[in-house]
Amino acid sequence: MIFHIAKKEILELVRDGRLRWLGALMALLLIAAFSLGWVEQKRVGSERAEALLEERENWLEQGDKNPHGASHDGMHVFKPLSPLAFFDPGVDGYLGTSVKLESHRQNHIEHPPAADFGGLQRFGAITPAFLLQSMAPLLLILAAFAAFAGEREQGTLRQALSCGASPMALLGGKFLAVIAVVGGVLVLALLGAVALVLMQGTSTGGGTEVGRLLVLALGYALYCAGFVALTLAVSARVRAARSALVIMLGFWALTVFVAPRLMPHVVRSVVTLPSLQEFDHALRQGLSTVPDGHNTQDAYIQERVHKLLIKHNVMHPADLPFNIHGLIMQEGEERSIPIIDRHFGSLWDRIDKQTRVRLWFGLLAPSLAIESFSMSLSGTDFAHHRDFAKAAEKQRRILIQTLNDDMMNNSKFGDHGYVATREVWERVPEFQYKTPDSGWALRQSRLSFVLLLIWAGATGALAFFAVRRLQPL
Amino acid sequence: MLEARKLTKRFGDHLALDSLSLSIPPGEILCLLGANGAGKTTTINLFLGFLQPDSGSALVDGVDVDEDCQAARHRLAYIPEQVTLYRNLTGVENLQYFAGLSGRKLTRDELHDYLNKAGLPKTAVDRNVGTYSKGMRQKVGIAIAMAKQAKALLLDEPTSGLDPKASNEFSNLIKQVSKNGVAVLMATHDLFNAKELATRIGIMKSGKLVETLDPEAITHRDLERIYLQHMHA
Amino acid sequence: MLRYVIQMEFRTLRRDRWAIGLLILLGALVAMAVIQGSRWQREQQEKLLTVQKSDDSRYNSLLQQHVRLDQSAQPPRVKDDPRITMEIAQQGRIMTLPPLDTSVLAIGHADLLPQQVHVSAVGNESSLWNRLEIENPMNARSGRFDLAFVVVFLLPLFLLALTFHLLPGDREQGIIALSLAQSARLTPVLLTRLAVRGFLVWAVVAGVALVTMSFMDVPWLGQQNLWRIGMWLVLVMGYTLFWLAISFVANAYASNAASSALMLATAWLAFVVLLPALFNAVLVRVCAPPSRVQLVSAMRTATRAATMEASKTLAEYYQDHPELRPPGTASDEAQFIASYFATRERTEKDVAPVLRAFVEQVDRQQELVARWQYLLPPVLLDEAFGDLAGTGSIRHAHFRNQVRQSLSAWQEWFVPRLVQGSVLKVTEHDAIPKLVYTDESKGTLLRRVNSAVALLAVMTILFTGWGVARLRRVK
Repeated sequence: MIFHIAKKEILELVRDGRLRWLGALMALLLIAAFSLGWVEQKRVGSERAEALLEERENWLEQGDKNPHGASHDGMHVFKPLSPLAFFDPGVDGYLGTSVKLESHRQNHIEHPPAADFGGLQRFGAITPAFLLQSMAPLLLILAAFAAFAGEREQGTLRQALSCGASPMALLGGKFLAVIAVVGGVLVLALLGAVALVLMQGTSTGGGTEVGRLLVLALGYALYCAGFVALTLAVSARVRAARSALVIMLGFWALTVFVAPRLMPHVVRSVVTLPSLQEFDHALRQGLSTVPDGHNTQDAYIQERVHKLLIKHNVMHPADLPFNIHGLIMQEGEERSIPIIDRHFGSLWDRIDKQTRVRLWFGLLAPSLAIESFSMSLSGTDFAHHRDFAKAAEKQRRILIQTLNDDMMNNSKFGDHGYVATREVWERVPEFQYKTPDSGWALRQSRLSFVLLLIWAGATGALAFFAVRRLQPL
Repeated sequence: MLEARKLTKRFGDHLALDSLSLSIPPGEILCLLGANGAGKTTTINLFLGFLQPDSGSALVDGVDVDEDCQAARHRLAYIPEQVTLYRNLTGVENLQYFAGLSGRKLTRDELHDYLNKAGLPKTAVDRNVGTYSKGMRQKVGIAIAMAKQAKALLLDEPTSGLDPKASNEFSNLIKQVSKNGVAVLMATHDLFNAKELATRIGIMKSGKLVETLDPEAITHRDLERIYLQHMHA
Repeated sequence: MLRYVIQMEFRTLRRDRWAIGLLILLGALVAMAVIQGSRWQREQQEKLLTVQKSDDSRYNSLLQQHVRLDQSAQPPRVKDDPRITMEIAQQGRIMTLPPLDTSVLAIGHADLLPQQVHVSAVGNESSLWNRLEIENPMNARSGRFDLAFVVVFLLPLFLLALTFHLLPGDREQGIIALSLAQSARLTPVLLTRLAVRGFLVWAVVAGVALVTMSFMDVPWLGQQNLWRIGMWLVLVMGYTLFWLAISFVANAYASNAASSALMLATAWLAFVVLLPALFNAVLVRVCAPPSRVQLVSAMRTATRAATMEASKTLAEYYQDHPELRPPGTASDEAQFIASYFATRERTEKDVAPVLRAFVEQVDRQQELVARWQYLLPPVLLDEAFGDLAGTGSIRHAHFRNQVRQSLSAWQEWFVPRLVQGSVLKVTEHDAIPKLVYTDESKGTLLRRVNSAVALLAVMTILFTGWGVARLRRVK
């Protein structure tokens, strides 16, 4: 029975001229979004890969230099683009792309692309994720708003019920039909994405990306199904198709456009963030409590030197079997690590907490749940950025340790003219960052997935109860 | 086949149906006459389970509509004043859909056969219903009713707005259906048509059945006189 | 006759609970936006004030220390001594972009872009704009719920919800035939009804906004602010008329209310969402600035080259700036400083082409936006709101320009002194270039805002004409 009803509904939907236009427009936009995203992905991807290579070259070819001098000149690393960034660029544009690794401090990741684009960016960008999050629900609403209310107005609902169709079968059939028709467009999108991922080749780990895409598709299916169910519920309850349309358009505008804009105010009232100045000032203050190894008159260092002299039973630092400056430098680094971790950790935790508060509002506005879910699985959310920042910091610590070790073991005390050579630079491993696998991303996005399940379930229940008391007149 | 037992329905303060009792055996056609708001359509909607009675019950083939309206609807066919169909589907597609809803899978030939019997021109069956006249839509309605092979038929002013010829054709079709042992309940304003078609005529006023007449026993003029008497009383 | 129409319309609206509910909701949203906006504005003002104050007090204590040390005639120390030119040059000053009282009108991008920068003689310009304010990236992406958002995005939706059914609804109910039979003319009646509803919407937005501003102690009546608020009211009126005209066309075309709603929803989607987003996408691709990544790379490579040939770099530097060449052999320190600036100058020279390409592309982008936004009323309006609020991209660009100028002024002043290792005198403090931001003139700003008003007017006329032509042909 459900399929019988769905068949007729599909026929009607397909013959609806307005929907055909809108469907074609949506398909066109999706194609445009994919191609634009793809071109951008390739451009930015290769640019960053090249930059990374060039930087490695700069590092190796920096010439003979004092290792500590080299640690101040530092090394830049660039954040690779997530292989799915073309699908959902997420918050990548608002986060940095490169960071300088140097001694004594962890730097912020700099150069967010958003800093260079003017007023237009908040009008949104045509990306597959944007279209699926904001346009797809609209299409679904337009396809489903008249399902019950329109048939009631025309009288076909009476006719159908008098023939013995059960309201639940009507609900099932209509739901299936809308999903099938609009879902066609969505499946197209998914296939497009898979194709593009496969075209990127194995260098970026195509396998896990397909896994991510499948999970993404599941999330979007839940999101869309919820909209269909809610529209059908409203359509079953209200008298006129016009009211159903206006109510659903209102809900759509609220969840897709208004809710995200309200969130900054809401989350800031729950968790505050320091300003750039405040953060940097606090970090500097924190770091100033540990000697960085430059000031040899520092009491702590004096004491440390004294102890070492006793331990090795020598009179003068120059008699130690290693250059004590290197050791002191490294110890200074190590003592700064907990401070750095505390400051950055607390900042990032606060951002995470804000993001979680925002996400919980996904109970009211499903767009907040899907946006988070989508960017998480696309590898373009803050959690992924944090993962990169941690990897970069790890690299920084390896870099500095390598340089300090060289100074400690290969230079003489008081030899300010000591220079290290390419052989030392080569000891610093190449920075290779891989986006975490899909299992990791899934774990990160558990909550948003549960919220999507709740959304689909709740709207489904709503539709069920609305249709159970279906009024044919 | 169709039976109402002390059926009562209120809309707020308004008493739409006041303890109505009637019974229509198979093969009988009962025409209900009455002014707008007399309760004719309410009666039909109660039989269809579109409305719930405040007291009393409506039974179709012994099934209480309020208890199991799905089972009751399976035994019923219904033609409203305006047969409404899906405008973007053809006559055949509409029939196939509605027949399917009542659980009947019809072949293409059977579909065409029903539409043919209902008098829909051959050239129209594969056209979108949006292009049909009202008479043509009513015919598709009859085809739907016939295809269902129901035990009872509910008609809600089905001939209003039809020209005399179409109205006459319609009446003949109903007669044929009824001869196969179907109980027919028809609400109408058309005294002439009622006299021609019915095996029994009921006159309703303010939710009550105030008079039942045998059409064989009276003339057109008698019917009109009795009807107007009730209306002015 | 139109008097009756107006009377009738008010009577209908008074009894329309749906319409009254919508107007109340709109008022609530406006109030919320103003409250959020003024809170943000106050926060921002306080933040900048604190920064400015602490910078001033730091500098003043430095100055006092300088006076004291000058009198004591102690020899300069290596560090923490204001007589060392490097100390002042390095510590620099803070330059701020002060928020206006009217920033309640639009938070715009002021929550992202740095509103204060640290200008010093050793800093380089591009590094000042490497970062955004610390903000949750999700918040940064969605932007704030400010008055500009309510007007640009939501006001049209309310207008459309209040007007989509005027003519088709009457058509469905058959009232049209009735009123035409009374020899009423369709076009003036419909336009009057639209105008009544549009005026109500405008009045709610304007009234609630001004009342809430007063309530939040925003001094909108102040001399500096009144003309901005006045222009804002005009812009909102223009935008209201623009959408009324679109609604007029849909009313003229649609056969029933649902299809009119659909047309208008599509128009909203196109104008407010899709076209700007599409434009944005094209803009990003057509004239993408050579990315910062490239810039960083080029900078690194150039620096490496300059440092590897340090002595050559320095020699060239002295060749270019013979006046800076030390008379005898320079001290280690002086050599180091000279070498630093030499490297820097050479690096800058090397990177100049990339940087120029970068700046050119950004300019081109801005130019494209400036030209094409005339097709995109919401974008133009958003920019105009930003202009009036002082949070617009143009004001920020203006700020960046002045920062750039200040930076080079500082360098011009400091670098020769640094390289020559001269000691700073107390009296010289006054000669250090001041870092003060001055806004562009009212005239330039008004010219831009006026062009937005003009565009809205032209578009309104065009759409109205279209609707009138259509209605002439309808019976």
